[in-house]
Amino acid sequence: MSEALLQVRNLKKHFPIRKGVMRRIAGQVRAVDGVSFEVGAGETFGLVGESGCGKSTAGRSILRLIEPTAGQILFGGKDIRKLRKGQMRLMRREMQIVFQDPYASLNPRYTVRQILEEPMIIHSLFGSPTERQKRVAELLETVGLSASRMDRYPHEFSGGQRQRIGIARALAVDPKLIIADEPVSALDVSVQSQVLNLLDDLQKQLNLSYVFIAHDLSVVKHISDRIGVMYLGQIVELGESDQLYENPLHPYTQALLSAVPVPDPEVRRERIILQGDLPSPANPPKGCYFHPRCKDCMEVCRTQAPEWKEVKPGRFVGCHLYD
Amino acid sequence: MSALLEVSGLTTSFLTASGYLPAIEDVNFAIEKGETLGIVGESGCGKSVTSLSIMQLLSSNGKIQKGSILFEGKQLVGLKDTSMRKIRGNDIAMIFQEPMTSLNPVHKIGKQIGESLRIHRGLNKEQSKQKAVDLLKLVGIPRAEDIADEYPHRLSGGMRQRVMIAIAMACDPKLLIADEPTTALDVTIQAQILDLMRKLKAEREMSIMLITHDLGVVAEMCDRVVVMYAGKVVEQGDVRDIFRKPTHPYTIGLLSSIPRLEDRQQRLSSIPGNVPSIEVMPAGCRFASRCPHATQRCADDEPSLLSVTDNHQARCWLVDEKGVAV
Repeated sequence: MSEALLQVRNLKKHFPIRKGVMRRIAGQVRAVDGVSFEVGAGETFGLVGESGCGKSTAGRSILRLIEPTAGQILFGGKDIRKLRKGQMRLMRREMQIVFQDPYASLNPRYTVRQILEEPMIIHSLFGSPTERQKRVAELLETVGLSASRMDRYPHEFSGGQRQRIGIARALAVDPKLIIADEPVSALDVSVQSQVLNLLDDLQKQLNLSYVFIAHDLSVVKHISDRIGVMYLGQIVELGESDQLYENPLHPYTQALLSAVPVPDPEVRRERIILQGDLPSPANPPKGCYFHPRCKDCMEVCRTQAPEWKEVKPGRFVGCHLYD
Repeated sequence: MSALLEVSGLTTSFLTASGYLPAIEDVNFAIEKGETLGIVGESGCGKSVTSLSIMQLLSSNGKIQKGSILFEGKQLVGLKDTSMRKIRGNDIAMIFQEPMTSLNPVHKIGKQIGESLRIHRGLNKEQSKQKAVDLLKLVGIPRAEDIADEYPHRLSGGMRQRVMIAIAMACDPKLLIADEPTTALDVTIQAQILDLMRKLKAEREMSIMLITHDLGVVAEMCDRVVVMYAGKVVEQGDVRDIFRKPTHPYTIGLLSSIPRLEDRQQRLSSIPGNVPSIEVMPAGCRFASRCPHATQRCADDEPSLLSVTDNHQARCWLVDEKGVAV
């Protein structure tokens, strides 16, 4: 891999829990607790995990939409956590986000044209109104919508079309990196595949890098080059997407993969059914965070947190089984 | 063997600004004893309206306009409220998609499970409480005695869905209608719930009508499948036939749009366009505008459900043209 475009090192986001009239801090929710990964130019990095594992918080912290508690975020070699507010705003020209809910993430009182022009105006791109209009038309065509509909409002579009508008808005400022936070989970399968194909095409045309956040493993596997599996604020396993699926190392990854129902009535996969629920990130278990639900739990797992190590080139896992 | 539930010609409409519009039209299917029937389709295809029609839980602007619903030979359409109440929650039970909103937040869990037992079985407070604890154990909830005295907000999503299942199982229903029971849950929790449903079904010889948009869940759980599109049944048959020999272009498109874990496809196939809106349904086949095989005949004339084999039907003219017996 060439020099990474985005390097995230030991990213942490802890939310304080406040209690009582004095709003004193009574504890910390460790939403993201030491996450590290890299994304190369033109590469897709998938972050996958169940609800509450901190994948969305991680995505937003990278853009500093939520201010991280600790860690380094290097974008093109520059630590963006050191940037002042104004500088950070300029930086966001390079890094954009697409949100999950295409119904809530578009301003209902703006026309599509206004929605797509706004980022250009903020970043003083395409000075004249006619140039901007040309660009809006171009963007709509790029995402597969007719330019003649630019003066319509979001409610006149279907879910899949709205998500296309969300993608067009992210593309408006010509970013290098797009963080896609569950971009297809609100869509039906037949429309979902349209949007996934669109993201794929755009990546090839524009050499975009994606951080693709989702809970659906089949979708993440389809679109990603490399994948990080998150559990309770940490990445427990990271590797090339094919290798990760063919030979999952961490017991959590194994359970997660085996839980996905196979759309084929004649295939019966052996299933590892995890017991219990995700523990609270405000009060994570001692030792390895996964040990109370792990089928291979050993004595050492109860007391000692596993080290994050490279077991094969490009393949990382945090589990005592591989000590 | 006569079917446990037989739905025929069911048409349910909703009052809108432009008059009554049908959300589902001419829906036919049957569920045998001990069978799991899957109803699949995308949002707005009418799968939930179908289940609400059976339960007679339609909102006040909706009504069944045509058709019949026979449950053990008894007509449910037009049944008086008081008689329907004896069936609902007793012979036919339902679990909903949202375990967060389908429990009453101000009543203890034990009380909510016991409610149908007090109503249908005439148990007193003590007895129903005891039975509620048993039911919680049945659905695999640890510390059942304590949990019965808790309020729903103390439980996680997966646990709440178990409580919903316990409520549904209380009166030993003959038919369980599960409307997207695992959609709001994570995959590992989904696996737990599906496992539980399979176990209960085997133990109690219950029939299940499973409504879902997830073809993986269908493949895993169902014996037979009904595929719905824009308010109509477009294909139905044995689960193996549907997955091995899908016939309707919509089913084919749906099956090939899912990303699969096993193989790395370069590109997903997708169905172009969108579902037509209820107000402007095309005259002919409802899928014609998105169908790669559409002909003039499809635009003009709507096909009926044509037989592909004995147990496999599809609403498509292609079946006819292939020369298969209609």
